[in-house]
Amino acid sequence: MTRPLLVASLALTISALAVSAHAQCGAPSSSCRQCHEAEHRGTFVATEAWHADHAFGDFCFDCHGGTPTAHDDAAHFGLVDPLAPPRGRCATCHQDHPDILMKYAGAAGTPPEPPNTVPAAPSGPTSSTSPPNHSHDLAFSALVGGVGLAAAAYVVSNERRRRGRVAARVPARSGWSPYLAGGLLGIVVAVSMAIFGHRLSGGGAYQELAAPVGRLLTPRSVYWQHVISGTAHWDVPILVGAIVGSFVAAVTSGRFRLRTMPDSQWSDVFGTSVSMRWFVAFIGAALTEFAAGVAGGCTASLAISGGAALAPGAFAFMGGMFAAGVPTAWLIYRKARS
Amino acid sequence: MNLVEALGVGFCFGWLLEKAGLARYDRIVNVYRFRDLAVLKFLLSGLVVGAFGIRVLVSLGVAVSVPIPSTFLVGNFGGGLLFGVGMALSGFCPGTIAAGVGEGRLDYLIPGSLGLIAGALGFGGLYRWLVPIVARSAHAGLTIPDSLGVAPWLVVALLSEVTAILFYAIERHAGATRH
Repeated sequence: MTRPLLVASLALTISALAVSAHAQCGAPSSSCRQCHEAEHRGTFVATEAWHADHAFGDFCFDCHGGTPTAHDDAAHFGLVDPLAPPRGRCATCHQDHPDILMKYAGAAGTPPEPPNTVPAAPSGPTSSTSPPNHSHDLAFSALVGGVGLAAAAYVVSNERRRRGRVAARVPARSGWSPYLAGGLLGIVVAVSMAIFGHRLSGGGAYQELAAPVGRLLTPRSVYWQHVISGTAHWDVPILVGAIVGSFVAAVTSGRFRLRTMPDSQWSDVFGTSVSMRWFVAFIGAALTEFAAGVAGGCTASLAISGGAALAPGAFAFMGGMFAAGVPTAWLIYRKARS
Repeated sequence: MNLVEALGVGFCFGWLLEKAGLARYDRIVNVYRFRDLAVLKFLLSGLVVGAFGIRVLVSLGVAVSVPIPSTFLVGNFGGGLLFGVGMALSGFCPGTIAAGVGEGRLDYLIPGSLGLIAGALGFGGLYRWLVPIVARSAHAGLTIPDSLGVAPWLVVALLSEVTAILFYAIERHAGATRH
Protein backbone atom coordinates (compact mmCIF):
# COMPACT_ATOMS: atom_id res chain seq x y z
CA MET A 1 0.00 0.00 0.00
CA THR A 2 2.73 2.45 0.99
CA ARG A 3 5.14 1.24 -1.61
CA PRO A 4 3.27 2.43 -4.73
CA LEU A 5 2.62 5.64 -2.79
CA LEU A 6 6.30 5.97 -2.05
CA VAL A 7 7.30 5.27 -5.62
CA ALA A 8 4.75 7.78 -6.89
CA SER A 9 5.90 10.47 -4.49
CA LEU A 10 9.53 9.80 -5.33
CA ALA A 11 8.74 10.01 -9.04
CA LEU A 12 6.93 13.30 -8.48
CA THR A 13 9.81 14.77 -6.51
CA ILE A 14 12.31 13.57 -9.04
CA SER A 15 10.41 14.93 -12.04
CA ALA A 16 9.91 18.27 -10.31
CA LEU A 17 13.57 18.45 -9.42
CA ALA A 18 14.59 17.31 -12.87
CA VAL A 19 12.65 20.16 -14.43
CA SER A 20 14.28 22.71 -12.16
CA ALA A 21 17.79 21.30 -12.45
CA HIS A 22 20.21 22.72 -14.92
CA ALA A 23 20.55 20.84 -18.13
CA GLN A 24 24.25 21.41 -18.57
CA CYS A 25 25.11 19.12 -15.65
CA GLY A 26 25.21 15.35 -15.69
CA ALA A 27 27.16 13.15 -18.04
CA PRO A 28 25.35 10.91 -20.53
CA SER A 29 27.23 7.94 -19.14
CA SER A 30 30.08 7.89 -16.66
CA SER A 31 32.25 5.04 -15.56
CA CYS A 32 30.93 5.64 -12.03
CA ARG A 33 27.51 4.24 -12.80
CA GLN A 34 28.91 1.62 -15.14
CA CYS A 35 31.05 0.03 -12.41
CA HIS A 36 29.05 0.78 -9.29
CA GLU A 37 25.60 0.04 -10.60
CA ALA A 38 25.62 -1.85 -13.88
CA GLU A 39 28.49 -4.11 -12.83
CA HIS A 40 27.72 -4.07 -9.10
CA ARG A 41 31.32 -3.46 -8.20
CA GLY A 42 30.58 -1.94 -4.82
CA THR A 43 27.11 -0.48 -4.88
CA PHE A 44 26.91 2.71 -2.90
CA VAL A 45 24.32 2.87 -0.19
CA ALA A 46 23.69 6.56 0.33
CA THR A 47 22.25 7.78 3.57
CA GLU A 48 21.83 11.49 3.01
CA ALA A 49 18.98 13.46 1.45
CA TRP A 50 21.26 15.39 -0.88
CA HIS A 51 22.48 12.12 -2.29
CA ALA A 52 19.03 10.66 -2.82
CA ASP A 53 17.83 13.88 -4.46
CA HIS A 54 20.52 13.67 -7.11
CA ALA A 55 20.09 9.97 -7.84
CA PHE A 56 17.83 10.60 -10.84
CA GLY A 57 20.68 11.32 -13.20
CA ASP A 58 24.34 10.74 -13.66
CA PHE A 59 25.71 13.50 -11.45
CA CYS A 60 28.37 11.51 -9.60
CA PHE A 61 31.24 13.55 -11.04
CA ASP A 62 29.58 16.89 -10.44
CA CYS A 63 29.52 16.33 -6.69
CA HIS A 64 32.25 13.78 -6.05
CA GLY A 65 34.87 14.69 -8.62
CA GLY A 66 37.06 11.83 -9.79
CA THR A 67 37.88 10.72 -13.30
CA PRO A 68 34.66 9.47 -14.90
CA THR A 69 36.37 8.49 -18.13
CA ALA A 70 38.57 5.86 -16.51
CA HIS A 71 37.32 2.33 -16.03
CA ASP A 72 39.86 1.12 -13.49
CA ASP A 73 41.25 2.37 -10.19
CA ALA A 74 42.24 5.62 -11.89
CA ALA A 75 38.55 6.49 -11.93
CA HIS A 76 38.95 7.36 -8.27
CA PHE A 77 41.71 9.88 -8.84
CA GLY A 78 40.61 13.35 -7.95
CA LEU A 79 37.73 12.38 -5.67
CA VAL A 80 36.70 15.22 -3.36
CA ASP A 81 34.34 15.72 -0.42
CA PRO A 82 31.07 16.90 -2.00
CA LEU A 83 29.98 18.78 1.12
CA ALA A 84 33.30 20.35 2.04
CA PRO A 85 32.82 23.79 3.53
CA PRO A 86 31.99 26.48 2.81
CA ARG A 87 29.83 25.64 -0.22
CA GLY A 88 30.64 22.09 -1.16
CA ARG A 89 30.65 21.21 -4.83
CA CYS A 90 27.05 22.36 -5.25
CA ALA A 91 28.04 25.48 -7.16
CA THR A 92 29.49 23.45 -10.03
CA CYS A 93 25.90 23.05 -11.23
CA HIS A 94 23.88 25.48 -9.15
CA GLN A 95 25.85 28.56 -10.16
CA ASP A 96 23.00 30.93 -9.42
CA HIS A 97 22.48 29.45 -5.95
CA PRO A 98 25.92 29.20 -4.42
CA ASP A 99 24.33 28.73 -0.97
CA ILE A 100 22.11 25.82 -1.96
CA LEU A 101 24.09 23.66 0.44
CA MET A 102 22.05 25.33 3.16
CA LYS A 103 18.92 23.68 1.79
CA TYR A 104 20.13 20.38 3.14
CA ALA A 105 21.51 21.90 6.28
CA GLY A 106 18.13 23.53 7.03
CA ALA A 107 15.83 20.65 6.22
CA ALA A 108 17.86 18.19 8.23
CA GLY A 109 16.50 14.70 8.37
CA THR A 110 13.61 15.31 6.02
CA PRO A 111 13.64 15.53 2.25
CA PRO A 112 13.54 19.11 1.08
CA GLU A 113 10.06 18.81 -0.38
CA PRO A 114 7.38 16.52 0.99
CA PRO A 115 5.32 14.94 -1.80
CA ASN A 116 2.23 17.07 -1.28
CA THR A 117 4.06 20.36 -1.57
CA VAL A 118 6.04 19.60 -4.70
CA PRO A 119 5.59 22.51 -7.09
CA ALA A 120 4.01 21.09 -10.23
CA ALA A 121 5.94 23.32 -12.58
CA PRO A 122 8.49 25.48 -10.86
CA SER A 123 8.13 29.00 -12.18
CA GLY A 124 11.64 29.85 -11.10
CA PRO A 125 14.49 28.04 -9.45
CA THR A 126 14.01 30.16 -6.32
CA SER A 127 10.86 28.24 -5.38
CA SER A 128 12.85 25.13 -4.67
CA THR A 129 15.21 26.85 -2.26
CA SER A 130 12.60 28.25 0.14
CA PRO A 131 12.04 25.89 3.07
CA PRO A 132 8.67 24.10 3.16
CA ASN A 133 6.10 25.42 5.61
CA HIS A 134 5.34 22.88 8.33
CA SER A 135 3.52 25.10 10.80
CA HIS A 136 0.21 23.22 10.59
CA ASP A 137 1.91 19.88 10.86
CA LEU A 138 3.90 21.18 13.79
CA ALA A 139 0.90 22.46 15.73
CA PHE A 140 -1.02 19.26 15.21
CA SER A 141 1.92 17.09 16.06
CA ALA A 142 2.78 19.11 19.15
CA LEU A 143 -0.75 18.43 20.34
CA VAL A 144 -0.44 14.70 19.73
CA GLY A 145 3.04 14.71 21.22
CA GLY A 146 1.73 16.49 24.30
CA VAL A 147 -0.94 13.86 24.80
CA GLY A 148 1.69 11.16 24.33
CA LEU A 149 4.00 12.79 26.85
CA ALA A 150 1.20 13.13 29.38
CA ALA A 151 0.39 9.44 28.94
CA ALA A 152 4.05 8.53 29.37
CA ALA A 153 4.29 10.72 32.48
CA TYR A 154 1.24 9.01 33.92
CA VAL A 155 2.72 5.59 33.25
CA VAL A 156 6.02 6.59 34.83
CA SER A 157 4.44 8.05 37.96
CA ASN A 158 2.15 5.05 38.31
CA GLU A 159 5.18 2.84 37.87
CA ARG A 160 7.16 4.61 40.59
CA ARG A 161 4.28 4.38 43.01
CA ARG A 162 3.83 0.67 42.33
CA ARG A 163 7.52 -0.04 42.37
CA GLY A 164 7.79 1.62 45.78
CA ARG A 165 5.64 -1.20 47.11
CA VAL A 166 7.49 -3.95 45.30
CA ALA A 167 10.98 -2.63 46.01
CA ALA A 168 11.02 -3.99 49.54
CA ARG A 169 10.75 -7.58 48.28
CA VAL A 170 13.23 -7.38 45.42
CA PRO A 171 16.93 -7.58 46.23
CA ALA A 172 18.73 -4.49 44.96
CA ARG A 173 20.41 -5.02 41.62
CA SER A 174 23.77 -3.56 40.99
CA GLY A 175 23.83 -0.70 38.54
CA TRP A 176 21.42 1.88 37.24
CA SER A 177 17.91 1.38 36.01
CA PRO A 178 18.03 0.51 32.30
CA TYR A 179 15.29 3.08 31.73
CA LEU A 180 17.43 5.84 33.22
CA ALA A 181 20.65 4.80 31.48
CA GLY A 182 18.84 4.26 28.17
CA GLY A 183 17.06 7.59 28.43
CA LEU A 184 20.34 9.39 29.09
CA LEU A 185 21.85 7.59 26.12
CA GLY A 186 18.90 8.88 24.08
CA ILE A 187 19.97 12.45 24.86
CA VAL A 188 23.51 11.61 23.80
CA VAL A 189 22.17 10.03 20.59
CA ALA A 190 20.02 13.09 19.79
CA VAL A 191 22.97 15.46 20.22
CA SER A 192 25.31 13.16 18.31
CA MET A 193 22.88 12.75 15.39
CA ALA A 194 21.40 16.23 15.08
CA ILE A 195 24.26 18.48 16.22
CA PHE A 196 27.38 16.48 15.48
CA GLY A 197 25.82 14.80 12.43
CA HIS A 198 27.04 11.28 13.21
CA ARG A 199 25.42 8.11 14.41
CA LEU A 200 26.35 6.44 17.66
CA SER A 201 28.70 3.65 16.70
CA GLY A 202 29.55 0.23 18.03
CA GLY A 203 30.91 -1.95 15.27
CA GLY A 204 32.09 0.75 12.88
CA ALA A 205 35.45 1.18 14.58
CA TYR A 206 36.35 -2.45 13.97
CA GLN A 207 35.77 -2.04 10.24
CA GLU A 208 38.26 0.80 10.39
CA LEU A 209 40.69 -1.31 12.42
CA ALA A 210 40.31 -4.17 9.94
CA ALA A 211 40.87 -1.88 6.94
CA PRO A 212 44.71 -1.96 6.98
CA VAL A 213 44.61 -5.76 7.04
CA GLY A 214 41.95 -5.79 4.34
CA ARG A 215 44.03 -3.51 2.13
CA LEU A 216 47.00 -5.76 2.66
CA LEU A 217 45.06 -8.89 1.69
CA THR A 218 43.12 -7.41 -1.23
CA PRO A 219 44.81 -4.19 -2.30
CA ARG A 220 42.41 -3.53 -5.16
CA SER A 221 39.24 -4.06 -3.18
CA VAL A 222 36.86 -1.16 -3.72
CA TYR A 223 35.47 -1.82 -0.25
CA TRP A 224 38.70 -1.27 1.64
CA GLN A 225 39.86 1.50 -0.66
CA HIS A 226 36.76 3.60 -0.96
CA VAL A 227 33.84 2.41 1.10
CA ILE A 228 35.38 2.10 4.50
CA SER A 229 37.93 4.89 4.50
CA GLY A 230 35.67 7.78 5.35
CA THR A 231 34.66 7.53 8.98
CA ALA A 232 37.83 6.75 10.90
CA HIS A 233 37.69 10.20 12.44
CA TRP A 234 34.42 9.35 14.17
CA ASP A 235 34.05 5.62 14.87
CA VAL A 236 37.49 4.93 16.31
CA PRO A 237 37.43 7.75 18.90
CA ILE A 238 33.93 6.53 19.87
CA LEU A 239 35.43 3.12 20.63
CA VAL A 240 38.31 4.66 22.60
CA GLY A 241 35.89 6.90 24.49
CA ALA A 242 33.58 3.97 25.26
CA ILE A 243 36.40 1.89 26.73
CA VAL A 244 37.57 4.80 28.88
CA GLY A 245 34.00 5.67 29.91
CA SER A 246 33.27 2.11 30.93
CA PHE A 247 36.59 1.89 32.77
CA VAL A 248 35.88 5.03 34.78
CA ALA A 249 32.35 3.84 35.56
CA ALA A 250 33.60 0.40 36.61
CA VAL A 251 36.41 1.73 38.78
CA THR A 252 34.28 4.33 40.53
CA SER A 253 31.62 1.76 41.37
CA GLY A 254 34.09 -0.95 42.35
CA ARG A 255 33.26 -3.33 39.51
CA PHE A 256 36.60 -3.34 37.72
CA ARG A 257 38.26 -6.74 37.90
CA LEU A 258 40.39 -8.61 35.37
CA ARG A 259 38.61 -11.84 34.48
CA THR A 260 38.59 -14.35 31.67
CA MET A 261 35.05 -15.71 32.02
CA PRO A 262 31.50 -14.38 32.42
CA ASP A 263 30.50 -13.88 36.07
CA SER A 264 27.46 -16.12 36.03
CA GLN A 265 25.26 -18.46 34.05
CA TRP A 266 27.77 -19.25 31.30
CA SER A 267 29.17 -22.34 33.01
CA ASP A 268 25.67 -23.78 33.51
CA VAL A 269 25.53 -24.68 29.84
CA PHE A 270 29.03 -24.34 28.42
CA GLY A 271 31.13 -25.63 31.33
CA THR A 272 34.08 -23.98 33.02
CA SER A 273 36.60 -24.25 30.21
CA VAL A 274 38.17 -20.90 29.37
CA SER A 275 39.11 -21.99 25.85
CA MET A 276 35.47 -22.91 25.19
CA ARG A 277 34.37 -19.44 26.25
CA TRP A 278 37.04 -17.74 24.20
CA PHE A 279 36.20 -19.84 21.15
CA VAL A 280 32.48 -19.06 21.33
CA ALA A 281 33.25 -15.40 22.07
CA PHE A 282 35.37 -15.22 18.91
CA ILE A 283 32.72 -16.89 16.74
CA GLY A 284 29.91 -14.80 18.20
CA ALA A 285 31.85 -11.57 17.79
CA ALA A 286 32.72 -12.40 14.18
CA LEU A 287 29.06 -13.18 13.48
CA THR A 288 27.80 -9.92 14.96
CA GLU A 289 30.33 -7.79 13.09
CA PHE A 290 29.68 -9.58 9.79
CA ALA A 291 25.95 -9.18 10.39
CA ALA A 292 26.40 -5.49 11.19
CA GLY A 293 28.01 -5.09 7.78
CA VAL A 294 25.12 -6.84 6.05
CA ALA A 295 22.49 -4.93 8.01
CA GLY A 296 24.15 -1.54 7.71
CA GLY A 297 24.77 -1.11 11.43
CA CYS A 298 24.69 -2.70 14.86
CA THR A 299 22.59 -2.25 17.98
CA ALA A 300 24.02 1.22 18.56
CA SER A 301 24.38 2.54 15.03
CA LEU A 302 21.29 0.99 13.46
CA ALA A 303 18.77 -0.04 16.14
CA ILE A 304 19.14 2.95 18.49
CA SER A 305 20.45 5.66 16.14
CA GLY A 306 18.45 4.57 13.12
CA GLY A 307 15.35 4.04 15.22
CA ALA A 308 15.73 7.52 16.69
CA ALA A 309 15.97 8.87 13.13
CA LEU A 310 12.76 6.90 12.36
CA ALA A 311 14.41 4.80 9.66
CA PRO A 312 12.31 1.72 8.81
CA GLY A 313 15.46 -0.38 8.47
CA ALA A 314 16.18 -0.01 12.19
CA PHE A 315 12.92 -1.72 13.10
CA ALA A 316 13.50 -4.49 10.55
CA PHE A 317 16.91 -5.04 12.16
CA MET A 318 15.45 -5.29 15.66
CA GLY A 319 12.82 -7.70 14.36
CA GLY A 320 15.59 -9.87 12.94
CA MET A 321 17.61 -9.68 16.17
CA PHE A 322 14.79 -11.07 18.24
CA ALA A 323 13.48 -13.47 15.59
CA ALA A 324 16.87 -15.23 15.60
CA GLY A 325 18.09 -14.51 19.13
CA VAL A 326 15.14 -16.11 20.89
CA PRO A 327 15.39 -19.53 19.18
CA THR A 328 19.19 -19.47 19.52
CA ALA A 329 18.97 -18.85 23.27
CA TRP A 330 16.30 -21.51 23.53
CA LEU A 331 18.51 -24.07 21.79
CA ILE A 332 21.41 -23.24 24.10
CA TYR A 333 19.39 -23.25 27.30
CA ARG A 334 16.73 -25.85 26.60
CA LYS A 335 18.31 -28.37 28.97
CA ALA A 336 19.67 -25.93 31.52
CA ARG A 337 18.14 -25.41 34.93
CA SER A 338 19.12 -21.77 35.41
CA MET B 1 36.16 19.67 17.06
CA ASN B 2 35.24 16.29 15.72
CA LEU B 3 37.65 14.23 17.78
CA VAL B 4 36.51 15.73 21.08
CA GLU B 5 32.85 15.28 20.12
CA ALA B 6 33.39 11.63 19.22
CA LEU B 7 35.40 10.94 22.37
CA GLY B 8 32.68 12.58 24.47
CA VAL B 9 29.87 10.60 22.83
CA GLY B 10 31.89 7.41 23.22
CA PHE B 11 32.68 8.15 26.86
CA CYS B 12 28.98 8.61 27.69
CA PHE B 13 28.11 5.46 25.70
CA GLY B 14 30.61 3.29 27.58
CA TRP B 15 29.78 4.88 30.92
CA LEU B 16 26.04 4.25 30.51
CA LEU B 17 26.46 0.68 29.20
CA GLU B 18 28.59 -0.16 32.22
CA LYS B 19 26.27 1.55 34.69
CA ALA B 20 23.29 -0.31 33.26
CA GLY B 21 25.17 -3.59 33.68
CA LEU B 22 25.03 -4.42 29.99
CA ALA B 23 28.65 -5.52 29.78
CA ARG B 24 27.53 -8.81 31.32
CA TYR B 25 26.98 -12.08 29.48
CA ASP B 26 23.82 -13.05 31.36
CA ARG B 27 22.17 -9.65 30.90
CA ILE B 28 22.45 -9.81 27.11
CA VAL B 29 21.50 -13.47 26.74
CA ASN B 30 18.56 -13.32 29.10
CA VAL B 31 16.72 -10.75 27.04
CA TYR B 32 16.31 -13.52 24.46
CA ARG B 33 15.00 -15.83 27.17
CA PHE B 34 12.60 -13.19 28.49
CA ARG B 35 14.24 -13.53 31.91
CA ASP B 36 15.75 -10.05 32.14
CA LEU B 37 14.57 -7.42 29.71
CA ALA B 38 17.14 -4.75 30.66
CA VAL B 39 18.56 -4.71 27.12
CA LEU B 40 15.13 -4.09 25.62
CA LYS B 41 14.34 -1.38 28.18
CA PHE B 42 17.67 0.31 27.58
CA LEU B 43 17.40 0.08 23.81
CA LEU B 44 13.84 1.36 23.52
CA SER B 45 14.38 4.13 26.10
CA GLY B 46 17.39 5.34 24.12
CA LEU B 47 15.50 5.06 20.85
CA VAL B 48 12.43 6.99 21.98
CA VAL B 49 14.29 9.71 23.88
CA GLY B 50 16.69 9.98 20.94
CA ALA B 51 13.81 10.31 18.46
CA PHE B 52 12.19 12.94 20.63
CA GLY B 53 15.44 14.81 21.11
CA ILE B 54 16.23 14.81 17.39
CA ARG B 55 12.77 16.21 16.61
CA VAL B 56 13.21 18.93 19.24
CA LEU B 57 16.61 19.92 17.86
CA VAL B 58 15.31 19.90 14.27
CA SER B 59 12.27 21.97 15.25
CA LEU B 60 14.46 24.46 17.07
CA GLY B 61 16.49 24.79 13.91
CA VAL B 62 19.78 23.92 15.57
CA ALA B 63 20.15 20.55 13.85
CA VAL B 64 22.82 20.41 11.19
CA SER B 65 21.99 17.27 9.23
CA VAL B 66 20.62 14.05 10.62
CA PRO B 67 22.35 10.97 9.21
CA ILE B 68 19.56 8.52 8.40
CA PRO B 69 20.66 4.92 7.87
CA SER B 70 19.51 3.46 4.57
CA THR B 71 16.63 1.07 4.51
CA PHE B 72 17.23 -2.11 2.53
CA LEU B 73 14.91 -4.56 4.18
CA VAL B 74 16.59 -7.77 2.99
CA GLY B 75 19.90 -6.65 4.48
CA ASN B 76 18.45 -5.00 7.56
CA PHE B 77 16.38 -8.03 8.51
CA GLY B 78 18.82 -10.70 7.30
CA GLY B 79 21.68 -8.97 9.06
CA GLY B 80 19.49 -8.69 12.14
CA LEU B 81 18.93 -12.46 12.09
CA LEU B 82 22.68 -13.19 12.00
CA PHE B 83 23.28 -10.51 14.59
CA GLY B 84 20.76 -12.07 16.97
CA VAL B 85 22.46 -15.47 16.66
CA GLY B 86 25.86 -13.96 17.40
CA MET B 87 24.53 -12.00 20.35
CA ALA B 88 22.72 -14.94 21.92
CA LEU B 89 25.82 -17.12 21.49
CA SER B 90 28.43 -14.75 22.85
CA GLY B 91 26.43 -12.49 25.12
CA PHE B 92 27.69 -9.26 23.65
CA CYS B 93 27.42 -6.99 20.67
CA PRO B 94 30.10 -4.71 19.22
CA GLY B 95 29.20 -1.80 21.52
CA THR B 96 29.09 -3.79 24.74
CA ILE B 97 32.47 -5.33 23.93
CA ALA B 98 34.02 -1.90 24.51
CA ALA B 99 32.15 -1.62 27.80
CA GLY B 100 33.28 -5.11 28.83
CA VAL B 101 36.89 -4.26 28.05
CA GLY B 102 36.57 -1.24 30.36
CA GLU B 103 35.36 -3.56 33.14
CA GLY B 104 38.44 -5.74 32.75
CA ARG B 105 36.94 -8.64 30.82
CA LEU B 106 39.68 -10.38 28.89
CA ASP B 107 37.25 -12.58 26.95
CA TYR B 108 35.88 -9.35 25.50
CA LEU B 109 39.28 -7.79 24.91
CA ILE B 110 41.06 -10.65 23.16
CA PRO B 111 38.72 -13.12 21.40
CA GLY B 112 35.93 -10.54 21.28
CA SER B 113 37.91 -7.81 19.55
CA LEU B 114 39.72 -10.26 17.29
CA GLY B 115 36.41 -11.83 16.34
CA LEU B 116 34.97 -8.44 15.44
CA ILE B 117 37.95 -7.70 13.22
CA ALA B 118 37.63 -11.14 11.62
CA GLY B 119 33.94 -10.50 10.99
CA ALA B 120 34.72 -7.12 9.46
CA LEU B 121 37.33 -8.73 7.19
CA GLY B 122 34.83 -11.38 6.17
CA PHE B 123 32.24 -8.80 5.27
CA GLY B 124 34.79 -6.69 3.40
CA GLY B 125 35.89 -9.71 1.42
CA LEU B 126 32.34 -10.65 0.44
CA TYR B 127 31.17 -7.06 -0.04
CA ARG B 128 31.22 -7.19 -3.81
CA TRP B 129 28.93 -10.20 -3.90
CA LEU B 130 26.83 -9.51 -0.81
CA VAL B 131 25.84 -5.90 -1.19
CA PRO B 132 24.20 -6.17 -4.62
CA ILE B 133 22.02 -8.91 -3.12
CA VAL B 134 21.08 -7.40 0.24
CA ALA B 135 20.90 -3.79 -0.92
CA ARG B 136 19.02 -4.41 -4.14
CA SER B 137 16.17 -2.16 -3.13
CA ALA B 138 17.89 0.44 -1.00
CA HIS B 139 16.05 3.57 0.06
CA ALA B 140 18.59 6.15 1.05
CA GLY B 141 17.47 8.47 3.78
CA LEU B 142 13.97 6.99 3.97
CA THR B 143 12.05 7.57 7.19
CA ILE B 144 8.74 6.19 8.43
CA PRO B 145 6.97 9.60 8.32
CA ASP B 146 8.18 10.09 4.73
CA SER B 147 6.89 6.76 3.55
CA LEU B 148 3.54 7.25 5.28
CA GLY B 149 3.26 10.89 4.33
CA VAL B 150 2.68 12.07 7.91
CA ALA B 151 4.47 14.53 10.16
CA PRO B 152 7.53 13.18 11.99
CA TRP B 153 6.13 14.32 15.35
CA LEU B 154 3.14 12.06 14.90
CA VAL B 155 5.40 9.03 14.49
CA VAL B 156 7.49 10.07 17.50
CA ALA B 157 4.36 10.47 19.58
CA LEU B 158 2.94 7.11 18.54
CA LEU B 159 6.30 5.43 19.10
CA SER B 160 6.59 6.82 22.62
CA GLU B 161 3.05 5.80 23.42
CA VAL B 162 3.56 2.24 22.20
CA THR B 163 6.85 2.04 24.12
CA ALA B 164 5.26 3.41 27.29
CA ILE B 165 2.50 0.81 27.08
CA LEU B 166 5.06 -1.94 26.47
CA PHE B 167 7.15 -0.84 29.47
CA TYR B 168 4.04 -0.67 31.60
CA ALA B 169 3.07 -4.20 30.57
CA ILE B 170 6.60 -5.46 31.27
CA GLU B 171 6.74 -3.95 34.74
CA ARG B 172 3.24 -5.08 35.58
CA HIS B 173 4.10 -8.62 34.54
CA ALA B 174 7.37 -8.51 36.48
CA GLY B 175 5.55 -7.18 39.53
CA ALA B 176 2.93 -9.91 39.26
CA THR B 177 5.47 -12.72 39.10
CA ARG B 178 7.43 -11.43 42.07
CA HIS B 179 4.47 -11.56 44.43
